[in-house]
Amino acid sequence: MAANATVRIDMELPTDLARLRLPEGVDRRLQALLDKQDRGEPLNVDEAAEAEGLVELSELLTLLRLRAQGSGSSAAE
Amino acid sequence: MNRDYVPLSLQRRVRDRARNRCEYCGISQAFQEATFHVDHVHPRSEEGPTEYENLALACVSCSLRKGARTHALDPATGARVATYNPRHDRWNEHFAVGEDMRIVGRTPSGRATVELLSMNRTLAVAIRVEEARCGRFP
Ligand SMILES: [Zn+2]
Repeated sequence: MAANATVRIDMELPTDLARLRLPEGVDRRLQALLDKQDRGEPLNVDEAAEAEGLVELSELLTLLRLRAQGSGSSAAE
Repeated sequence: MNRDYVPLSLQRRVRDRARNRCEYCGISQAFQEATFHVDHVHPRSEEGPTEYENLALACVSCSLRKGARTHALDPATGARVATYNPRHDRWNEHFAVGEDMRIVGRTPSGRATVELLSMNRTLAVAIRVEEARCGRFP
């Protein structure tokens, strides 16, 4: 069943994880949603769910990168 | 259109004043993937002006959850109280950081804000633990 399919990605840790970054376009989309909300236009249900998902994605990538760096690689950029 | 546009020069001053940290949860922009947002503290929808004294730097999570809210429930008493205002309130009076890197509200306003902004979500706490390990938090 497609819904239960899993994707397996082999990555070398931790260096590859440190290379996982939030795409610029995704960051821009999140900024646009936050701008809209901050302008006093409430997000609709779909936009709110999207924003929530993007926040979580960005935090997950942040955490992965911090952990990859913390686990001894010479790290980053 | 664009009546609420925050000029880039003003955004830069707000980021500098905040030393590139979220003015609510205190996390540093430095190693975060998403760009922190310059927010109106007193919301546009209530005629909050787009000026230096009404703007604050917020991480994307705090920004999204705060939105136009200025009040929330204190989980300890159920009373509706004003949320933390980074322009008028002192962070240390309203919040403390526990050994486990959870943020604790020290006042009704602090507790309400911790709850409203979901400051102790698993991911947020995990990020703070890593940041603390590198000496960047608190
Ligand atoms: Zn924050």
